[in-house]
Amino acid sequence: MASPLEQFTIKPIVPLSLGKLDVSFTNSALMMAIAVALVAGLLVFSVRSRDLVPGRLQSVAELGYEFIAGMVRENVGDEGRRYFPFVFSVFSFVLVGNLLGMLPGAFTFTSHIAVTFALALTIFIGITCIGIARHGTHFFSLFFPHGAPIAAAPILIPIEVISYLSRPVSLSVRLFANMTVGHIILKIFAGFVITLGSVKFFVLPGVLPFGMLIGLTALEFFVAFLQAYIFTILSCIYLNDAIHLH
Amino acid sequence: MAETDPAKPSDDPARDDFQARLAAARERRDGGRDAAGAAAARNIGQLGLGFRVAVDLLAGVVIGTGMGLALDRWLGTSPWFLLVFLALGFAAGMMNMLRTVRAADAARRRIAGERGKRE
Repeated sequence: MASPLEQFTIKPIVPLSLGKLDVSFTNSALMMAIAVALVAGLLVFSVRSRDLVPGRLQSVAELGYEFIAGMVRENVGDEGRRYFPFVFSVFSFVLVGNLLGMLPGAFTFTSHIAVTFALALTIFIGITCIGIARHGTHFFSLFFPHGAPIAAAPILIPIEVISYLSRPVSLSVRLFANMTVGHIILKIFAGFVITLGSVKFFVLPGVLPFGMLIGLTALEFFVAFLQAYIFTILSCIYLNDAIHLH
Repeated sequence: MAETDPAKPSDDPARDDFQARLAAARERRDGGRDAAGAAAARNIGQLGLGFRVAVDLLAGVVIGTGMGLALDRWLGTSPWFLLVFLALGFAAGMMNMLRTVRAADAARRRIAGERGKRE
């Protein structure tokens, strides 16, 4: 049986290097490019006809749009509307990445901490810049809870700063860990089906893990949606903090 | 063509009977599905919340440890900053956890309130 971790290996497709830096076009990069192409293709082609009564593809695009628009309106308010394209891009990229990983043999780029952390760090730095641009130095009042005694500042401020800095870590670890664990479990159960199914008693012992595998696959689809949703809604909440400061 | 309201009682007794049976059947179907679906969703939601809370705590400790180690290496004060920032990181992780749980609690209460209003 192959190692359950084998599916996460990065393989260069087109070897490239920039000085001493390895910038090869890998299977991970290929899946990301496919994800972007799929999202862009779906959005461009599905609304091309501009039907008043949407067809199947157009309803998918409209549902996604309304879902994210509602999320932004609810969590950030009216000021959040200008950041809708950003939030929508994050959501569709993560969701399609998670779902592409469910194709047999496909590579799941959201199962790499390098990818999710880069994504979370970009969001984090972007949101911090938005907050500083809107509020100037007043933005740093975010690190001191409103109404707390001044004497508590030497302890409270470091705690709040660490809490703020830990956001991209928790955001990325959550997505990466969920996707990695899910795919490892799927692979292990698939391995059980083969090893148990090939022992004596015909294939009967393999039926049980196979049943589990079906359930787990359904659960993984659910997790793919849920984690994309959580990643996006937390980005919205962080954005709301930066815009409204408490 | 004048459309009659299907839920309104009409003069036809056979029609009223059918409406009553239809409503009862719908109630049976939706009631059962809602309860089972809601229970499953609640379990998965609790699992997800537990995992989120664990990651929140971990992230605070990781960042605290990292900052402590970096400060120690820069100022050559090992292990004092590490000790202080480990404690601060733990506190920050606790704060993250509290915030997550509080937000989840508020959302749950809001949903429960909306459901109560509707019924």
